[in-house]
Amino acid sequence: MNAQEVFNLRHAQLRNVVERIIGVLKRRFRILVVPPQYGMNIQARIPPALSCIHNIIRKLDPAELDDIEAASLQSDAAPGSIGSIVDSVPTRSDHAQMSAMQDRIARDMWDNYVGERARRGQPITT
Amino acid sequence: MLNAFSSPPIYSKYVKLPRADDPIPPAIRDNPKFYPFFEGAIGAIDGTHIVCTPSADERDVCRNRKGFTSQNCLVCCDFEMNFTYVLSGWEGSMADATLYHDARMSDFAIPAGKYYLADAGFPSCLQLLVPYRGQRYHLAEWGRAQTQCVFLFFSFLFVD
Repeated sequence: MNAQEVFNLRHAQLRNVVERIIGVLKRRFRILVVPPQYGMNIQARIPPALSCIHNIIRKLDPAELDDIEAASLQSDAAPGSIGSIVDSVPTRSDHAQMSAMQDRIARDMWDNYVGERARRGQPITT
Repeated sequence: MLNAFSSPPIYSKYVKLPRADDPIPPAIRDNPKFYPFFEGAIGAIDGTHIVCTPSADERDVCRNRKGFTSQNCLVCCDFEMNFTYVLSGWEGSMADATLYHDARMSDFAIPAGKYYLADAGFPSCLQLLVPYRGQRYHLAEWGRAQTQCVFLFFSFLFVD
């Protein structure tokens, strides 16, 4: 184990949600697996429509009533709260900046991992 | 029906981008393996191939690297299993990184200081946190980790 591996491991665990949601969508709506003979302009609208329906189902599930209430209390987005659209391709400095953050997260995680292993009395394996 | 669910107002009501002032997702906040390390993460992003039946003249551009005709869709979701962004209709031959750039140039806004978790097929930039190359990319931590690992060699095939 090293810092980069711990980072990758936790990154994979958290990122897994997008793999799961795609799996759920394709299992729930077979039209995504057995495509219809419509024109491409129609076929292109099917995935977003089904994603929308997926979200509606998530909302209507009784266990998620709290979410619905919270959503109805939300005000309209304040200016600047949504984020901005990119106006150029990423630069070298963007890449360097994000790499530095990646390293920082990996280092902190590694310290946390080493500490956790020590607390459990388990050695670090390589 | 298709139009109703794939365009405003219904689509925009239920498929929404996260906002800068949204609280840290509980899935991160309540998990000491993720918090505070990934506190800036607002979702995960991936491309997925959806099988399609293009007309004869569209067939070649729709053929993907796996050999079937598809549209490549860019999908973002939050950590509660809700879709937050979907870009569809791109030919299957298009790489994830290209889809991402196209989305970013049009309507895919990401708040400053926030980022999505992406796999190695995406570019490393300020808004995407990608895994380290050349390291194991595990699916399970502590204990089972050694038997379940995925190597990253595929990623080199479709990165710019």
